[in-house]
Amino acid sequence: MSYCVKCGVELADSEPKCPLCGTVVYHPDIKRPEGKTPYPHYQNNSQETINQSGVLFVLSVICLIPIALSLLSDISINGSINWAGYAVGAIMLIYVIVILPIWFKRPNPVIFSSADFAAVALYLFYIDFVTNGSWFFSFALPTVGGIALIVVTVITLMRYVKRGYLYMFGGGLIASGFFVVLLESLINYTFHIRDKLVWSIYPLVAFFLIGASLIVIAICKPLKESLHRKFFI
Amino acid sequence: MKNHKLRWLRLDNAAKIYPAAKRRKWNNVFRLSATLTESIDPFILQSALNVTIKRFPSIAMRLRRGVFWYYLEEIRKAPSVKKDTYYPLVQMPFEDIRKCAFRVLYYENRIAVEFFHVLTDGNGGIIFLKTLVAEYLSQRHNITISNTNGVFDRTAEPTASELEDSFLKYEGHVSASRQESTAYRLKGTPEKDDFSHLTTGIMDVNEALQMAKSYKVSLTEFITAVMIASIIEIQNEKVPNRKHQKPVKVLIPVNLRKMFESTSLRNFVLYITPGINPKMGQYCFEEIVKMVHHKMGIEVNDKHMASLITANVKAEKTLILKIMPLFIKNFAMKTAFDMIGEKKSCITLSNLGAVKVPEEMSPFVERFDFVLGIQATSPNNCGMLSFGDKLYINLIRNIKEPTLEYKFFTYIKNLGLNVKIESNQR
Repeated sequence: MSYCVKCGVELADSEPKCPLCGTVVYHPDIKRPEGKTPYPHYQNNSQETINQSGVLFVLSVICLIPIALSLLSDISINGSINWAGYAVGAIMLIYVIVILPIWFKRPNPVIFSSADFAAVALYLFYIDFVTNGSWFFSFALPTVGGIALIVVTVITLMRYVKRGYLYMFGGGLIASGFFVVLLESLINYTFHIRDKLVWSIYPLVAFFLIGASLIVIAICKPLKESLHRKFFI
Repeated sequence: MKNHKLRWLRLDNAAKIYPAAKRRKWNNVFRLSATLTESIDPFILQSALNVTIKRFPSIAMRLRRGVFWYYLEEIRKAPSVKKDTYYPLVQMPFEDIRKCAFRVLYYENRIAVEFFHVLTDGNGGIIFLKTLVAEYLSQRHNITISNTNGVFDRTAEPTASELEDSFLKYEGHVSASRQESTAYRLKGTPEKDDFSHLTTGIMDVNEALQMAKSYKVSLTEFITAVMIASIIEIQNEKVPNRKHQKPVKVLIPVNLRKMFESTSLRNFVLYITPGINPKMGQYCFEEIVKMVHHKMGIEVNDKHMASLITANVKAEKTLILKIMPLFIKNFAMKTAFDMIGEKKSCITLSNLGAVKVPEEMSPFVERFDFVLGIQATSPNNCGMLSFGDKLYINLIRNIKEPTLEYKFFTYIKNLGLNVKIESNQR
């Protein structure tokens, strides 16, 4: 007869350790009798699971192949890196957004979403640099930066505050509305299209109304409860 | 060979949801087992099963698909007995259920029957198991076992009342509301290979009864209170802010046979969910016991149960539901099950009560066990029964962490009851 030194429960002779707390059954003086196990011994019959690191390694190699092929063919045809730069940049961008987070056990969405936007900005900077576009600092950077600021802020709040989602989404939508106005201004300024704002007013009004409604719902508890009753899933 | 017409049955009112609620890796199954004093001879067991199934036409069935409803069809011959696996209630694929909705397993001294819940409930299942064991012992030792204490005469014809859907018979006029608050959900790290951990707590039933008596409640009420107290402790650790805590409720199946004088071998249970709302404050164990006791006192009576039966039967009789093709009905019922089904309680605690066997069987039977399958979305479940002077509480889980088992059994231990733990740990 054995007892768990931690939980105090009696243990059947078949138990090598306490099933409740995992403490190993041991007595320096008494040899434990070998009890019959209530079920046949465990045999790992499950099919071999796919090794995640292996799959990721293969995916990384698969990404490397078109990169190498693009560079090689571009250099051999044109004698320099010409169009291959875009292809390589695009593949690397996809890799950063899709495959890189899978390498981590618990990828932090705040870090990875920031990294994704940084990668997008870098790729656009490369295109601007190669094409002598001179639109990166006046248009692409503030656009990507603005979207990144809104998205990363909402993700950060959702991850660390864990309540008041209606305020977060409401605020995010209102900010998005103003961002669209900024976007039109940046387009007008960079590409000299027109001097006044035309289309961005409509999304601004729509985003503002939806966002403000969410905040009103969040503030007004009876309204929130009534809507929850009607729309619960 | 005589080509006799195969019997078929509509699913009973409680069973209708089970085929619809099935998932790729989950079916609602439960297991009853008897451990004998000697090792099992599979050939005699097969022979005993061949005889026994003839007496239980509502259990020797397979599930078939109709245009509007599923139905049960008699199987032509008994399924082959199989050796038990290293964990109980291994997934019963739906394709298997279409061939036979139960299976008989053996391991060393133990005979186990695993039932898909459409066939019967624990009370019908234990009668089937006891009769199977009686037939096995009769063939093995050439003894006569009296047809008492839930052992049926294998040579007798089944009666109509055994095959009836008692829900339809006891439908009343007033429907009870089925609205309930959503309960706290237990969580953990799922086992990747679907392994189910079974932890059995064995106690002296008289000591446990004495303890329950000291709180002036029944054994089921006492164990339910311990379960609630254990889950409250888990929730307190995981959700420290009381404002965000959810009600802790335990689903207790209630056997309606005694209440309504039914002898049906099909499903005839309903459920009540005693529990507490931790948002209201901290409850001591005595208060939890009282809450459970009074809740059960209010709800476990024929009037209240009849109103619950009425609500369930009414839903089944809705014309729109009746004429809906099965695939749409399945979708609707599965959606309803996923949204509401298991969210109203943290765990099921099913007590089959004291299992008794005829005197002639007693020297050969060591123990009985009742194991509930895990729920579709909740990782733990609990079945219990007593046999002889022992109480067997089987806690099953499909997650790695034995948090509930630890809390539950150490709680019992701290109340002053000795518990012996046995498991299928690997």
